[in-house]
Amino acid sequence: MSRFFLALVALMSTGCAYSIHQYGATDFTGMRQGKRVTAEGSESYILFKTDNNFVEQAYAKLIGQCADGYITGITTQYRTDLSFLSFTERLIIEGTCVTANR
Amino acid sequence: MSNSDRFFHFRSGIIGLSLLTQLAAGCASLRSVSVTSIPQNRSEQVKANVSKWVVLGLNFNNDYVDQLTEQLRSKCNGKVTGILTKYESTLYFIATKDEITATGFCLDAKRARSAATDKSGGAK
Amino acid sequence: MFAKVLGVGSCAILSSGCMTLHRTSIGDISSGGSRFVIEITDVGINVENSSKAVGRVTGKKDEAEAIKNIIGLFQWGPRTGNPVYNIGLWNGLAAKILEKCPKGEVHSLVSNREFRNFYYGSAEGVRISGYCLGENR
Repeated sequence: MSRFFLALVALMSTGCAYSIHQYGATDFTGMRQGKRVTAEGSESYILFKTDNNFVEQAYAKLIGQCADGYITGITTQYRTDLSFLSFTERLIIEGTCVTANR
Repeated sequence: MSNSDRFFHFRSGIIGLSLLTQLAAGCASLRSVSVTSIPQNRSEQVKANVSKWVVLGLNFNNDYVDQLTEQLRSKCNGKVTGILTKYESTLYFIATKDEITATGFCLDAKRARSAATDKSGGAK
Repeated sequence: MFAKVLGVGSCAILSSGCMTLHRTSIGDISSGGSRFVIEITDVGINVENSSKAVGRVTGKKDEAEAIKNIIGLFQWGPRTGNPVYNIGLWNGLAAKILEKCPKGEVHSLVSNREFRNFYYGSAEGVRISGYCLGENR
């Protein structure tokens, strides 16, 4: 195999590749006084996956960061980090935590 | 055997092994996920779940999805907000189980009315 | 060699531009406000078609096939469209929305996850539109 091809393989396989599945936001209302909170649920799998528990993980983390307020302006990013015979599923949820006393 | 053939066989072997394991465990995929604004009052959590088995990809309707809102409505007399919706599929060789889970928080009717009239729009 | 490049190029041009909508979501719809649009576009690479083209142009089809298989092993996992490499582009959506609407009162948001096919690769993108209450930029 020529050096050119080896170089190409090295270049392609060492760079991190991602697949963006879903990307969006809900309404932003009454969030001037709030603080941004970010939660990430992720799980690594080899070859295939048998559950999607990282979704609830991200949701619980988000709620945990805003114990005494409501969360609005929620954005979600669901992606897969592709890797060697394995992959990591990630759900990143961001929102604005607005508390009544602010 | 050329390099290409060797890699092809190696990859085919991996895929075969993966398929065999799937037979026993099922291979899950997440089709979509969404979250709506989360309320301050999170004392009462409600959950609904609907699913459907599809054999050999033969699916003629998605009416089962309608039961999801009905389930949530029956469990909460007021407003359900902060809904996490998860739509996933699990493949079992020739059949697929499509499943939608919705988890939210029930605000009682009185609270729901006050939230609806609140001009800030936040479900407090 | 020139004919090969021409053939590969023609194929790319003829098959380009087809657009696919992967997912769409719509938020609560209200009236009022001024419309804004946010677009994020990234380059996705179709390893299979690209490696075929490299094999055809260089006359090394076996090597190209082997490379495709190796890359396939390194890019394992579920996919929507083609893989992208610059993940930084996709971060901070809320900041992008607030940049367009500093007052932070946004409604009627529509998010479209799109894909424009260029055979050897694709434009992987998202288009988000919404209405901003008060002043926007």
